[in-house]
Amino acid sequence: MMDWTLSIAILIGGLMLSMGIGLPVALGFFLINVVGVFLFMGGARGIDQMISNATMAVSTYSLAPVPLFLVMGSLFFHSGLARRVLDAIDVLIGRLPARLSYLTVTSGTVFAALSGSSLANTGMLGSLMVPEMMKRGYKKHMAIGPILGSGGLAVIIPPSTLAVLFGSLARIDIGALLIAGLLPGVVLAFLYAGLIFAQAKLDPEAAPNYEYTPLPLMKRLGIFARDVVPMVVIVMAVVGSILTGVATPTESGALGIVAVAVLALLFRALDWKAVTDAIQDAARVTGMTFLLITASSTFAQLLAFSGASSGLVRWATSLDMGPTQTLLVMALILLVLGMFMDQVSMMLITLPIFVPLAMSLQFDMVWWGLIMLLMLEVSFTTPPFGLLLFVMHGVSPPGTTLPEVARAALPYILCVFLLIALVILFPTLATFLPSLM
Amino acid sequence: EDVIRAVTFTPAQVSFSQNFQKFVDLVNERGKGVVQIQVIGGPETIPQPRMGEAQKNGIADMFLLPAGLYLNIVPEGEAFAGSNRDPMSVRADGGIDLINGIFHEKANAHVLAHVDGGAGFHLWLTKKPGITEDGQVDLTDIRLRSSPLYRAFLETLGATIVVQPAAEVYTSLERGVVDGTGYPISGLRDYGWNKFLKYRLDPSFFQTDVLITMNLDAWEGLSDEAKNIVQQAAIDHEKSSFDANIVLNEEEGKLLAEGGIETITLTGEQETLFLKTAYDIAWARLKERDPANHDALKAIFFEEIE
Amino acid sequence: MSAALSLLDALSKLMFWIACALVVMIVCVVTYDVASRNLGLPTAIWAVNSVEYAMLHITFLCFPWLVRTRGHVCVEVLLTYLPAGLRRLWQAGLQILAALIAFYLMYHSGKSFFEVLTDGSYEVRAFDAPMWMLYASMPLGFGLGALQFLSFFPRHESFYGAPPEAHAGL
Ligand code: NA
Ligand code: NA
Repeated sequence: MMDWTLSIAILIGGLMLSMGIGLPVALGFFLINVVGVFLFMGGARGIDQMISNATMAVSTYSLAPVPLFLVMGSLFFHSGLARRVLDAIDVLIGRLPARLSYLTVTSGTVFAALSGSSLANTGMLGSLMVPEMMKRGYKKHMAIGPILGSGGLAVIIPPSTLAVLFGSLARIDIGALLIAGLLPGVVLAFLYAGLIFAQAKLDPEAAPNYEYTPLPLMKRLGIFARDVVPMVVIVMAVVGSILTGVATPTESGALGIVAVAVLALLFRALDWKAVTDAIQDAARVTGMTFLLITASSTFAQLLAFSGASSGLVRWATSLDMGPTQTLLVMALILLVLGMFMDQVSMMLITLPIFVPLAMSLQFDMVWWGLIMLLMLEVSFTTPPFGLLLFVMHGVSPPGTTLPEVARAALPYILCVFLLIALVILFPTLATFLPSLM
Repeated sequence: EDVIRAVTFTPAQVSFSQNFQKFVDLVNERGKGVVQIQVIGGPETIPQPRMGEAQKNGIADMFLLPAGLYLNIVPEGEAFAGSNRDPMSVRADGGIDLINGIFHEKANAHVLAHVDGGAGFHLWLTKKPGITEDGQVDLTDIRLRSSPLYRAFLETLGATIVVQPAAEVYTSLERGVVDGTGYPISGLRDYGWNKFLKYRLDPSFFQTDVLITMNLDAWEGLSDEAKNIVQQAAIDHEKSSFDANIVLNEEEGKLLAEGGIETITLTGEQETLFLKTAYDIAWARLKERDPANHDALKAIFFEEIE
Repeated sequence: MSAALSLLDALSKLMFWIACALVVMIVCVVTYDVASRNLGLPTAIWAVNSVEYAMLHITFLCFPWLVRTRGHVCVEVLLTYLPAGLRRLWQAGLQILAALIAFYLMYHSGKSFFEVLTDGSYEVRAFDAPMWMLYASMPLGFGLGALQFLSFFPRHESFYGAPPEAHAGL
């Protein structure tokens, strides 16, 4: 077997190269997959295996939120309901600069507390908010950033599918790990709000404060009753169905679509064109995103199969270091792997090595698990492979490039780093709530 | 020195993989200078449902893989899950030789051992199940998370089936999307489901069907000395993992009971009816997919329930 | 030539419409699955798996039309730094390379398709689905997608430097 450093150089170097020269990203992945298969999986028979593995990548039910929430969001937009609601909210909130960015973070936090899936969170907010925010003259990063940020919140604010998986693989009390994420999650939401405030202050043009005439209270209440209250129905359909156990977060998008369709009918906003446009948009974005997932998940398998990723992990953790350095190295490994792999693969590769190491250093495992989860959250938005980047790129305004999306995510990633520093400095942030259990 | 590259169907820290590691250590110890096993990884290297195919293609040499994950390639693999006899007795009666003829031909694979045997699936519930007039367990109005292995059985008992990956079950149990699941005793606590579960239904049905297998070409490519070492270690591990499993299940069961999970035990005719229904479905499915070897396999792998 | 191009476009568009129909199907099936479970209607054991298969096919059915409409992501940083003449040449090379990759994937997935078609293998999920059904859309999607990459030449257009409104999005 090849030395892991050479494997990593070939696979990751090759990937960077094939993307850098300008090949479509999915085909760049496939190109290097084919090369890698010949080197590590035994040539032609490996190609058949790769094709066969590729049929598994997106045929998994946990990806169903992607088409569902995309249909819901684009129907919301094309039917004009989105405009009504956001108009009303504009009138209600009034002068606050960048109010739609705050609204995004707030609703993202609330939805994070209901859904366990970052994908669902980003898919929903992205398709609901972005098109209208662009129409209102927001700069791209003011629309994209908050959504990517709050998409990741779903990972640490309970419930969280990823936290459950992490807890079971690392043998950490799942209930404690889930509840430990709540406080840091709220802190993170406030950090995001602070970030938006700073961004809007530094560049007032980024979130234009358009013409606004104050309305009397009665009139405001009237608008609220007419345009916002009905939308509660949509929220209830998604959120309520999750809370009451009628539907899983994976399925809740379907009920959201039904609610949007019914409301659009009632507002006489549902015409044939709105429906077909919504479906075509959803299909396009789903097709693009899923091809990327197919190509990149095969890449992640190769990275694991060739021994490249486990070699990296073993090497880095074999360096003899103190507790804090070791913790930082673990975080750094997750950051690097997260550029190229999905979260589940990362956990499968790193945890067998990390867990005994963390235990030997006598870390509080819940505290440690939370920090690792925060790093997994970051990997959702680190290029070149970032699942949320892809979904977000799909719903971004025309002409948006992938690097633009990644740049919009950057300050939000820094917020997560800041939070990690806070959790390291003040472990109580993570351990307080579990200690009450 | 022969080097065998192995892949496991569970992540490295799950008990199945950890037990497999004991087998690997055993071979590497006995096989110094002759044969060594090198574990490449788990499901992050090849997706679980495609491992049977990878074995056939020889992508890796050795697999820790339940037969139930590639019934499409060898439908007769269901004999392991549908077996109510212990793996050692099945082996002594020629069961492994018999099924190896089929595995060689259909899966290009050689079965070394049926490991971690002696554990079946239990139903774990948050609601007490009813009993119908004819004594059968009644799961009407109960929503269960299920795997394809026992889904047909649970449906026969009236349950509504929800298909979910294991990671989503915690939240589903918490919110009542599902009222329970089927699962072996060991491993239940790993997912934290015990927090919400209130009842365990006994007896257990089916047997976990984890096999240590090798790609046939890789197996035949080993030196005779290496073959002997690997095969003998597999036979030893089959027995020791069975014994360890019995002890482990008792300890785990006790822990779960202390944690407040009440065991409902079916006895007498109720038990017979329950088990008959379960196993009949498994064997009927095997027969439906390929009847050729059904009778011969059932004669060895299955003891009639009276 | 132009007849061949219109045929190619028509086929690509048709595949995209089938993908759209599958999206609608997913919405209906999930809604029915949730409704049936809660209202005590007969449950659809095929619901989850058919959604999974639909998502698989959407991926490849969309591919040719997304190539035609330049809906695939690429990193164009390098291209923007190249002088115009070299850039055109570079883009032509990339289109050919992309087509070659897609043709290669078409060939191998097509081979797998015919293999599983003739040996009658199936996949076991909640129900036994014929294996060829999983592979059906892949060779078609990659093959037509490759042709679409090449078709930019006779069209005197480029996959790159697309007008912003062409990009996949809402
Ligand atoms: Na959450
Ligand atoms: Na990433």
